[in-house]
Amino acid sequence: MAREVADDVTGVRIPATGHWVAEENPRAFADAVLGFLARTSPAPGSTA
Amino acid sequence: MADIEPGLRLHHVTAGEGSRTLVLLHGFPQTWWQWHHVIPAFVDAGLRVVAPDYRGAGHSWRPAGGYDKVTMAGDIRRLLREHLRIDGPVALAGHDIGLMVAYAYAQAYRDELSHLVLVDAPLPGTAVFDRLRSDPRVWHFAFHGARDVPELLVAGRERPYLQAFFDARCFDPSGIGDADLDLYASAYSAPGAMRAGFEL
Repeated sequence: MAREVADDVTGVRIPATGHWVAEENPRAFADAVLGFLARTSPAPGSTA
Repeated sequence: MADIEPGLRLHHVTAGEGSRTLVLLHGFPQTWWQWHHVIPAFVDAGLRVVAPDYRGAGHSWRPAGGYDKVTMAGDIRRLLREHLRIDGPVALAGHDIGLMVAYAYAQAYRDELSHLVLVDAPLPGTAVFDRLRSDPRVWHFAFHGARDVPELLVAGRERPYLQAFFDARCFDPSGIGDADLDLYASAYSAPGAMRAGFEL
């Protein structure tokens, strides 16, 4: 879905959750977000 | 509370002192409280966290209009830039309706975001969104869009309506407990709160 509108997309599935992701598995959600934030932006024009 | 414009003040929670900012945008039928389990982990990781109640939700004011996602993204930008005086790029995470606000923010102010986190909702304008519109699981899109009727039917029944919302979409029911449901039921039983939610 996000790849329809963006080139640099990282998809993650948080286990043992329904729609209420941050409440049903807070540890896994926080770790996934922190892992993503640890990434630095690619150089302009990069398609990584 | 932050003055955003005449008739609109936004309630927001901040935590942490880090130089990098993570903004968390909740969805329906929730408030900033949906992030309360994860905020400590983000603070421990050195982030400054900002978790607003968007226009119409929680303790924020409930103006008659302005519930399009572009306007709501502008509200958040004003909170960050003018009220909190955050200048550099921020990381923005949105869940449910908050995802749509975050996406509108990214489209309008791309250079002001370092990261965009999209949590479990369809992106407006994508084929996925258009396909989902006819999916029975999103019956509420049409119901909430009806003028006045959802307010009529849900008035006085906010708690069981919200409970049905949470129960139908969970894997682990303990994720949102009775105390959480009480909090959301209280928030959405306030005068105009359901009307504001149905405007989203």
